[in-house]
Amino acid sequence: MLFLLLVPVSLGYVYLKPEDIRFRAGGPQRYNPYFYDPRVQTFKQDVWVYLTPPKPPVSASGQPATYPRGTARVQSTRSPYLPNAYVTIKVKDLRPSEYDNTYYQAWLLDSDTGYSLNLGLFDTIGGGVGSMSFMSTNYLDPYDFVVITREPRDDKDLRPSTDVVLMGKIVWQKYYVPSLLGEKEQMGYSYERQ
Amino acid sequence: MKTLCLGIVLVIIASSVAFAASQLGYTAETRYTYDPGTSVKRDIVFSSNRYWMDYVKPYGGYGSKGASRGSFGMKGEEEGASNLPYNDWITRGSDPSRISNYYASARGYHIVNKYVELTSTDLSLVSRPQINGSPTGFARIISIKPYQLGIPQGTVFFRTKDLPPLVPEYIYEAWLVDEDSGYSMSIGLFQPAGIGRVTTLEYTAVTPLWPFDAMMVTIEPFPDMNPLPNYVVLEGPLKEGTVGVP
Repeated sequence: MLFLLLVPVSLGYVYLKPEDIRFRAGGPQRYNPYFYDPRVQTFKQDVWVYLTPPKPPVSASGQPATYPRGTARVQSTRSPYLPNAYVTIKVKDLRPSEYDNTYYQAWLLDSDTGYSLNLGLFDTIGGGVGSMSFMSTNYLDPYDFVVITREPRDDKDLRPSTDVVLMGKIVWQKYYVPSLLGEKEQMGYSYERQ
Repeated sequence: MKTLCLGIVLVIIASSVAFAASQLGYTAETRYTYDPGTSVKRDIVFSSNRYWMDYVKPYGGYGSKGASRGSFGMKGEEEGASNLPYNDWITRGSDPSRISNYYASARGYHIVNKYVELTSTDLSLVSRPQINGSPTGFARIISIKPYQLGIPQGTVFFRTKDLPPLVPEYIYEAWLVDEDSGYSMSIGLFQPAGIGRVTTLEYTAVTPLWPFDAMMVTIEPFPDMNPLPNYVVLEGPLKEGTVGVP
């Protein structure tokens, strides 16, 4: 009788845990937390970032916001096989681009290394309204700020200018990772955001 | 007993005849109308949406004989360069039948329309030796300012072949490099499709690409919290020694 119980356990058909017993039909090749591999797990982020000037005017407190502002939606999937990133930005009350022959340019900034990823240009029309979108086969986990700068139209320098008009900190969600039996060192993989 | 057997036989014959008669009543039109399997096929094959309502001309290939942006007309999926040097992603840009004195660059902004070949620099860190030859990369880099849109737009069509697969903790990343400022812009991560197969990567952004000087492919750890380029395996210059597509 004991033998009949141990055979399916040893083959992986029965997944035993003190508080939980699951029977599975596929055997060990099916999904099993004991065979968990973090490389096949995609980590998705979908966060909103509110963009304000680096120094918002103090007098705006309690009043309708009349200073430049914007909203960015940052979506990122960290996956070795299908990474993707989408960033959508909308702004309001920025100075229209045609006034001073400039473009606005959006960046993602990694404050650790100082690297800024170019997201693209956009211009603003009356009311200071503008929008842009960015798509890439990459993941955006290293970045922690969305920055919008003002750049001359014939800009030859690919780096961001110092004329920052809007910025906002990205508050990433915490990844859900099932707590396991200590494989993270075995996989060379940290569950915490580094 | 004999009567019972005769009755059973008669019932079988009668039911068969009734079933056949019911089937004879179906016309093709009825079957197309009500049979979900057939009607779906009919919708796929004869859909007006497909052929008359929403027909869209292929984005590329205007004025040229075969190659388009899609797969049809390709000279072979196994060719790394495929039709990258010959296709025209700028309207009539590569059309030999065009007779015009109109010089696009005279519009006051830079146009980049280049075909670049990337060659391998060092593959000593790659985990497995290549089997089918030296890894190569091919890219078509386009940077234009469309008439309707007031902002420069950049597109990179990138193909690579014979890049060996990496150990799972690493991944390939493609970059555009500006050697003057040292700025590298990531255009995407990719996994090689396998020895002998072509891997494609497409990047589009609302940004001018003319200041860039080179393109490269690096090996990056995965996951990587450092966005800077790591180890270069393929590179090719944009400025010198490359073909400017007419």
